Amino acid sequence: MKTFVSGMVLAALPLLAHHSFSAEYDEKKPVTLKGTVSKFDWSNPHVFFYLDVTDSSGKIVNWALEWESRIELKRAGWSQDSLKVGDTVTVEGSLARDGSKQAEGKSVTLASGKKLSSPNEAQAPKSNAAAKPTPKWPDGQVRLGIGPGELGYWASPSAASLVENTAGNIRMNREGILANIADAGKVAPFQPWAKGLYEYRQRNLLKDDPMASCLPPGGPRQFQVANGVEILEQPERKRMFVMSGGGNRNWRLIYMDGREQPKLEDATSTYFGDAVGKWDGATLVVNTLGFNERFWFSNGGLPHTEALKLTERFSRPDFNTLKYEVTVDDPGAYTRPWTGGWTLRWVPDQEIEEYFCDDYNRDQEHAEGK
Amino acid sequence: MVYLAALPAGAQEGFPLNGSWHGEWSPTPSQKVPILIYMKWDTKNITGTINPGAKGMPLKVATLDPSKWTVHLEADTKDATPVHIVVDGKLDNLGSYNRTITGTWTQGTMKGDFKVTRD
Repeated sequence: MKTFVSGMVLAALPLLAHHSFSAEYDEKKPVTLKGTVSKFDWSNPHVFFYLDVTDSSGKIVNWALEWESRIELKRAGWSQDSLKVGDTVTVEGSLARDGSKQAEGKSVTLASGKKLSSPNEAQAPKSNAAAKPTPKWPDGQVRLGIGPGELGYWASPSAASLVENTAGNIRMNREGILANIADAGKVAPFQPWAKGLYEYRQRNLLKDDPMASCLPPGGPRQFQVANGVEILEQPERKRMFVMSGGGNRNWRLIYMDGREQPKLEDATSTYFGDAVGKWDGATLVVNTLGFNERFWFSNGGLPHTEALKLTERFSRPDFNTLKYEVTVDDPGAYTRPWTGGWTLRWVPDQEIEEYFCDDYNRDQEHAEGK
Repeated sequence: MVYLAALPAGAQEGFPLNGSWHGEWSPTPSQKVPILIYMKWDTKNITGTINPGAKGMPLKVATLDPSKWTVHLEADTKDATPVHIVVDGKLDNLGSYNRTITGTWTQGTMKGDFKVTRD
């Protein structure tokens, strides 16, 4: 028994890392497992539990089931008490691509009949405040963040990846992997090299994603991360902060004091760039430049260069909806400026809890490669 | 420690040829000539230099074919009688920071294999 457990732990270690689910698991290989919970790791970057399953020969095999982050699971109704060692459960999932006894969990049904789903399978959270109007500051300006006495943040983007808004409906999974690679040319007006690189990343199931090495989600991707974002407004200091739920609790600063933006050639290249914002009626317009090339600025692996400039427009048409639109101007990677966007949903009465993507991260080889 | 030391190099996820590439080419099977190629995408063209420094050779032609990830470079040596250099290679390990270009290096009448790795 001791030998078996040791072998199981060694086999499970590579999973304790931050990575693209699509690169690790094959959605086309569903699996149903019934067994007994042997361990429940309510941990970041991804939650795990382990299941003793009796195979057809009567042998007990330990399976590792990987789920999304704690933040996402909480949004779908999970808690650290959802499972106990010894619980008998049935799991639906997708098998690991490497053939190991590992799977991505889609849903788990307890002996009581209660079913818990991954956030992708669960219904998006519904706000109890659907009828409330757009909140405003005393001076009438729209509030993009929380009001006095409130809790909440923005999550559940309506699009998996940034796509030009004239592209029509392009099917892709939640990580931005196209259902049909032939659609790549519709996503954005790529330069040839950028289209080639985008297709390369798509064909490789995003395995080189810098976020897998815990690098920040700069640009529009900050509003695509599954763990959500919180917007903190400080009108007295004439600045705003966008706090990421994912990444490594990264934050981005938007100056609202009317300062001039540096010229592109003078800007320091960073993950979040130099951002200045101003209100245009009920819409916040933010211009950002000065990006480095060490990150992917959208899910799905869209390339960019240091020439990237963004114009983002934020509005809140009702209490529960944040409308996000971005114009991408990067003559190094695209043939012309282009625009896309999505909406985010208000997650009421919750805080974004602490999240560090490199907790339990054993993916050192990948990090070294970056 | 290795992990921490490796990170500041930073990933480079933009134009795949950007940066400094170190390696060597082989005019003969027993000879290895060190080379450094610096390349930069200026949003429309690839610019750069072979062996930057006093005898640096500006790239006269530099193209990347993203359908096959092949690279073609041309330059002239800075000798009294310049010698033309033609480099044809293939970009590999595209998703890695330390990607490589391998292929054929032709310098005047000499020809041999080469390999460079992105620093």
